[in-house]
Amino acid sequence: MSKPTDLVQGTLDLLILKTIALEPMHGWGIALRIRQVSGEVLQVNQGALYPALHRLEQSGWIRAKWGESDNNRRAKYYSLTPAGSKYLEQEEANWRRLSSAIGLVLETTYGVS
Amino acid sequence: MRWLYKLPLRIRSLFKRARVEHELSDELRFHLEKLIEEKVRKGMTPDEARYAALRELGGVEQIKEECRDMRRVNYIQNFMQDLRYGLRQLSRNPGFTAVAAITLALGIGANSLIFSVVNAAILHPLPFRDANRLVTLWATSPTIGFSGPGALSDPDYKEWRMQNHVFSEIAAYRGQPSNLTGGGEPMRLTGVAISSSLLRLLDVSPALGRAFAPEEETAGHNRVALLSDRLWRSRFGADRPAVGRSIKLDGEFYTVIGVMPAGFDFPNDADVWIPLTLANDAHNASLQIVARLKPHVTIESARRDVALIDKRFKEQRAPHPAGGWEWHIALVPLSQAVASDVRTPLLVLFGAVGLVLLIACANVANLFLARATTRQREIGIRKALGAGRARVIRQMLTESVMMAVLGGALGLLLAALGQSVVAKAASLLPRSMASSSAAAHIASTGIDFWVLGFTLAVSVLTAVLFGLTPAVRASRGELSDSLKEGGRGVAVGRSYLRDGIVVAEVALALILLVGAGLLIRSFLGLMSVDPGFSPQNALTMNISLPESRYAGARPMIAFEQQALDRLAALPGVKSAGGVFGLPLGNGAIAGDFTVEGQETPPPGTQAFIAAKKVIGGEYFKAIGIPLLKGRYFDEHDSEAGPHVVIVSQDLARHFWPQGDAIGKRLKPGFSNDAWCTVVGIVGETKQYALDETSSPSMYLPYAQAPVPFLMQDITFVLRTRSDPLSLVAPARRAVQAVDPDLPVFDVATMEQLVYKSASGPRFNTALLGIFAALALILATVGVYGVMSYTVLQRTHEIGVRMALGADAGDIIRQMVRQGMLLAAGGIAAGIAGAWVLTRFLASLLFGVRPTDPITFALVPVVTVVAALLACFLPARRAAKVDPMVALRYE
Repeated sequence: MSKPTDLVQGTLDLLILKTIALEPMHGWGIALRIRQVSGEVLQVNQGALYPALHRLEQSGWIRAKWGESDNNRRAKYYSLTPAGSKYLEQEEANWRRLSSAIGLVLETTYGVS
Repeated sequence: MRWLYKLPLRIRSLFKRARVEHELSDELRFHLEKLIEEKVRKGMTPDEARYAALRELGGVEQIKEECRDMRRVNYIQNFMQDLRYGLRQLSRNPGFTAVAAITLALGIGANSLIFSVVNAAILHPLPFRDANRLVTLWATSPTIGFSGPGALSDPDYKEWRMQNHVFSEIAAYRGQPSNLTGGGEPMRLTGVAISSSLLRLLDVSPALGRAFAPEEETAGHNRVALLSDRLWRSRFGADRPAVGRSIKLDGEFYTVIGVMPAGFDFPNDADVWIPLTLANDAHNASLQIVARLKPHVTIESARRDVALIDKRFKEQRAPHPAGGWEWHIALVPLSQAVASDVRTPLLVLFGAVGLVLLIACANVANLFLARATTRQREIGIRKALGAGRARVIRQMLTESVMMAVLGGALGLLLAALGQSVVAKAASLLPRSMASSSAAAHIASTGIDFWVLGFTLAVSVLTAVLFGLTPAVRASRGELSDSLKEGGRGVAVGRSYLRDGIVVAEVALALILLVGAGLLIRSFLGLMSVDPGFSPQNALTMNISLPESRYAGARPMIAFEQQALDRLAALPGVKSAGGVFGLPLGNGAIAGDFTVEGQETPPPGTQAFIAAKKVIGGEYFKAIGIPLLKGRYFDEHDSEAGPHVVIVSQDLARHFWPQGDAIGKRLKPGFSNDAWCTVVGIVGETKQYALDETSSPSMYLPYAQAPVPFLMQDITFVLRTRSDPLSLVAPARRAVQAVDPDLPVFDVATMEQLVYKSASGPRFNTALLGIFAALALILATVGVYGVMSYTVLQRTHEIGVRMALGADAGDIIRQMVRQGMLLAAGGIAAGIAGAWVLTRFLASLLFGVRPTDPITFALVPVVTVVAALLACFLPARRAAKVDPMVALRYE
């Protein structure tokens, strides 16, 4: 397994928002889903995950509700707020723009060398 | 729309803290359990899984803390936590807390006290509505360098009243003291004649009765009076029926129509107000003008308007009575006019007190620095638990603020207590338009909103000043260092910051000491000035002859004769005399005059001014002015005899430099002048203040006084064989035997008058001296503190040295040398600073240069002695250390 890549805060926010856009999830579930979907490349550090979740909640992008998990244990489920989903759209668009720009630069450099 | 979600969260975090914490724990525990499950599924044993999971999760507390940080209400919670912790810390170290609090209280208290004085005297000296819209008109004369305040004449006022556009209201007043008789002891009143518009202008109404109506300003209707609250209470027993009663002022009956509210004594300790009746005399100027600017007029545009009208007047009217000098009218804001002669000394004091506060802060900063180093372990633990640097700084800053607030509260208390003392002392300040009402104002305002706000601001500022550096220093430092046993923290040995602070303290204290030293020398010089007369054993008292009962010269000459005869006959009186124009008394008439055979100087140039005094009896002998040439007045110099004059030495020297003044003639410069022959030359005296250069005078016999008003006010001077005060009652009785309805007022010995004339410098010197002493004490304590701490830190080292053979003397010498090095640095810096700064004191100094070598030599000596003391005590303690104990000390 390759070394887990360090995730920048803004990127982590994006991943979390995208993950819970599909369905409300608790913290553990979010980390698991991100790992699975990215093919074990992106391993979210728990030390970063929960502060991020709380921050997003404080900013009003996501909201939390206590519910029952699969084995009837209490867990805190997070879901997107309307403002949050709009924010997600925005950030997604930004990310795509940024990554294609980086890609262009890398291609050019590759070509020169 | 996000706030819909944010707000309930914030509220919850604030009020349901326990529940929120609980939830956080639950959330993380859930995560942990899930992690363990996964590991077990991968094949670990439950225990292994648990350990692995915990390791992977990392610091749970740290995660929790970060989550808490994300909930922005943390600030408030943290603050409460900091407060509680700070309180605990402070109460656990009562010694530290007490010293720091008292030091701060002294600094902040002194600041608040002086600020309240500045507030009452300079910033808000006038207790009237919209006082910053009030202005006054001064007559000034740039040609002779007189920048006011000069009075205006009655016709001038009438013109200004008609022609101005910028004043919504204009009023005038002049002093009119009078004798109150009937209904008790005759009493001298400070009376003021005011125009009916004045009270309206100031927006003050009588507490009882009514104000003057415009008709009452005309002759025949103007026998009405308003009493001051003070007079009403003391003389009329605060009786309501006093309104409507008749009182006798200077022999005339006036009807009391009202009583003014308590505290109103415009312009200066007034007892009674009567209507102002304007005359047509353009030759005498005696009116003070007050006006209120129209709502949207600025001071600048008002000034321009005034200058324009002034120019127009000059083109129209005759030259000014004071001999052709160019007079201009200047517009001055009233608040400025009132505070003009108190400004400089108060600002100097303010600066001094600011320096004292800086020194106090430096001391407290050092205290906090020392404590911060001992708390390194605690801080290390906090950081290990996840406190960010900002958090640590915030916490220590909160402690500082608490300390500052404590010090500030104590300081405010001190300032409140000091109010009454300062108010009493402030009444000794030089006479300005409202200096005694400023004192009353200070006493009554007490701690007002402004002072409170100022104290709070200063407290917070000082907290930042002394708290920030230790907090920042403490929050740095390697984690592992701090947690080690015996970790003495960031700096073992010399701390340059602490040393630097002490050097600065000593420098500041030295600057203050130099300032105080200069003022003290200046004051001593002032007190040793020869006033030109003998102040010892001389009693003075004043009377004023009312025109109504003393019409014309004859009755006044008769009174003077009888009174002086009786006074001279008293046992215990060596000689008795009378004068109008007592030196260091209530002022004198002065002006130019004509000398026979010498040209009058052209208009516009400075004419020779002399005080013109009228004397009777054995005045010169009584007051102790020496006769240098010629003779005293005698019985030949009567009303019918040839007119004579005695001149002072400077006058004689100026006009007759060959020394042959006797026999020459001059005309005193009054309306019905006669040629007077000089018959004697007497020594010079100080007339207005001890530090003036020269006040030449001419003396005329009472019986030959050129105009009646020179005869109305007499100051009797008695030279006594023993204590002058023992003769007050007999002298009073003697005068009142001649006229029982005459109040005898302003009784004082010449010594008292000399003392009073120096009251301004005395006040300044005393205050600055106190602050300088305070600064020295604080700086000494600072040096002592640093030395003590150094000794403490180096106890181990000292033990080693002693074990190796150093004796007590060596240790003491070494410690003292170290401390004195610091002090020397401070002294050098202080001297440099003082050299630069003392020029601002120049206007307060008399006979002493701002760079006076004696002061600059003596003050460092005093400082060195204090520093030596401060170093010696801890050094002695160091030498007493038991080497065995010291070696074991960590």
